[in-house]
Amino acid sequence: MLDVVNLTVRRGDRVVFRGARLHVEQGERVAVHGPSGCGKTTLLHAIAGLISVDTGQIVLDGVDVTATAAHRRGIGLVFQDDRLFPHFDVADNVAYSLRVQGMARHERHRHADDWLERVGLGGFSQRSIDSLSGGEAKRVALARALAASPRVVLLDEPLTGLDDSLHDRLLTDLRLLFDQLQTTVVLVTHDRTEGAALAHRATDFSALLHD
Amino acid sequence: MCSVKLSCGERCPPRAGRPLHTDLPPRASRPLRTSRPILTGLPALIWLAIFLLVPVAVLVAGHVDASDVSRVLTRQSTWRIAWFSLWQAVVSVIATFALALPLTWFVGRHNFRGRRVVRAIASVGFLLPSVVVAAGFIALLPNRLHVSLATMIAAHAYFNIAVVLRVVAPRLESFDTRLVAAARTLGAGPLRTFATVSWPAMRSAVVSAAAVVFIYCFTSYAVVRTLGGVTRNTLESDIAVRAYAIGDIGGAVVLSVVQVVVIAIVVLLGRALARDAASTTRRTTLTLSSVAGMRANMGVVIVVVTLTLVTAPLVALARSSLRVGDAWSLAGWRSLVDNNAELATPESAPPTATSASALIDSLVASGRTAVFAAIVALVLAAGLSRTVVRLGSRGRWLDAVSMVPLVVSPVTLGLGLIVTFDSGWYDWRGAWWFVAVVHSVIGLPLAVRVLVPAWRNIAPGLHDAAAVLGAAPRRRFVDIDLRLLRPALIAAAGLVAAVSLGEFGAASMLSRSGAETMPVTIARLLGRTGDLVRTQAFVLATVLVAACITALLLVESGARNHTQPRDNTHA
Repeated sequence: MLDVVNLTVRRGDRVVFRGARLHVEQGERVAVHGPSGCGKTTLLHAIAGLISVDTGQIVLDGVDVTATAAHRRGIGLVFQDDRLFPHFDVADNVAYSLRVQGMARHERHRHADDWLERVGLGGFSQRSIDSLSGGEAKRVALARALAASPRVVLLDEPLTGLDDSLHDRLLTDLRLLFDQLQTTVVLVTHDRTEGAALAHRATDFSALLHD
Repeated sequence: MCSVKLSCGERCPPRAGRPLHTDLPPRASRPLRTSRPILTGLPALIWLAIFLLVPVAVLVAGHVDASDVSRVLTRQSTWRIAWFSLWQAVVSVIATFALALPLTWFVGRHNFRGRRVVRAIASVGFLLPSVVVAAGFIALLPNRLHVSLATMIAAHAYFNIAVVLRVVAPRLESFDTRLVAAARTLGAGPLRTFATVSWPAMRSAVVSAAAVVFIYCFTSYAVVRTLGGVTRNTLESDIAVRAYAIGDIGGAVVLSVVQVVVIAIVVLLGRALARDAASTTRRTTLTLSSVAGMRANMGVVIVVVTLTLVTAPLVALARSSLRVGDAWSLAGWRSLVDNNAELATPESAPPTATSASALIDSLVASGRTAVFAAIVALVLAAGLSRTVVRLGSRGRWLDAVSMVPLVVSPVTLGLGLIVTFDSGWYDWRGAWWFVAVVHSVIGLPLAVRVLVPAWRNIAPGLHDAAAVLGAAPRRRFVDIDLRLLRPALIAAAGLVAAVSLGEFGAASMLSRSGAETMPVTIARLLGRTGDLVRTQAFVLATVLVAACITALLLVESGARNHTQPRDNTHA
């Protein structure tokens, strides 16, 4: 489904990582662990097409997408800091990808409401982004990524910064949601319990490097 | 519904990319955003080069020789005028601060009902054309004070109150007064606390405001020409006199260079002082004090006195537009709409009055010029400010270049444009849009100043978020950049339009009969004799005040409406 082949990324003169390899099957959830600053986020951004790579390939369903622009890859990414659009309300954030696809407004808002219901935020569609709590913002970011019907969803430290009870509740909800949707997920986190709870398989970031 | 769609290909984006090859050569590092940052700024740089740098260069290189320099610089009158320009500007700065500081302190340090309204009303003067301010003072004061040094300086202080208020009050708002308490507990007396804690925190704002006010007063033209009388000349007004009344282009250019040098020194000095202070300032957002007791009474007095001073010339202006000579009359307003209007008083003879069509032409010319200037400046400034932000610290030089129009006075600019473009294959000065082009140059730095912080406020991560949701670069520009910039774009357009509506120096040089802008017509009417003529000037000035205030209110409400989060557009 997703193959990362010998990927090397540099930032200026610094090599962030060299020779990263990862294989993810359709519907599989893989957690990548590693300490802060090891290059986990960079790996996700490279897979999503947000940064350039020096060498190696990213292959999605047998097609090399390494040179494909981010907006054409069909890969979803939930950012660590959510990156919700502050000038749109909750529904418009969730429905953004549908708007890009040209879906009519009432229809995309219906889809947005469905997704919000699914992530436990029914009735939040008219809310402004400013009014959301940290956990609510995470759920909106997740609904936004899933509403785009991505082939793979990348999660960057999805539960960081939440208090314990919220963390546990969201962890349970995410697992149920991904089970139901059979979503292909690559999750990076420094928290091993989080990875173990969410993923079918977990690996250390250092184990991905083969050079 | 959604779960089915997730795993099927129904709404999946089409697969993209190329077939898998594992033996491809390594690629060079390649940023995904490939457009060069400088490209968006190029049109503005070219515009500035054509309509600012070339005219100034032509002026200096082609119309001055060594004899002009020695002739002008050795003449005693030159230094008398330069000295007058300098000290009247310094006195005007002191007067401005004396007038503005009480209100600035009260608004900056206190929270009270109507605070925003008070700040808006107190800022009106700055956005009014200087000719209108001069007309307001003529309407307000008795005849013997119409032309005097005190009136001139009062007018300078009047329209610069807003500069002090807008620059210094925000710094007061963010000043952490706990630092004062900390200094006092460490044994510092009030004076030492002020010198070592309060003043360092405020210095950059005060210096910046003082530098801006100084430059405005030093290059003042319309106020000096209208309220200073024939015996008082600043460098700016003397440049105009030499260039247009005497035909001494060489002398005018030398004076322009002297003026530019003085302004450049003040700008550099201001920047150096402001930078030093800013680096030592710790800012914070604190709750402002509420107003009660003695302080409330003092606040009421400060607000009432300042707002009375600000509104009095405007009220007097409206009142004078309803009087011809000593009698109440609508003749001035009637003459605006009716060429054959019966005139109210015998002393206002028709031959001295300006026809309705000329007044309407003036209104149309001003409106047309303001709209054109605002659109051009906005497009250029949007691109240039984007380049400044994208270049990061390397963009500082570009930021400085965009401020160059502030250093060259409008009269000098007008003179340079006349010299450069008047003898070409095309009658530039005959084109109605030529004044608008100049106004776009004058307004560009202001628009850039509004747009640079707005670009900076757009989190770069939002583009990434939109990209992974399928938005192509153009779509991201529309949905993120344009949407988030809209309030700033509206504000910048309004600012440039207001500046264009009120600009006098360049317009007075470049406007031709039949296409004069309103400030030029007002100044011309104020310089003529006859009661009705003067009333017509007040009528036009009143219309201009109304136009400026309406434009600014629309800008305010537009900006407020567009910050609402709801997306009401159809894809």
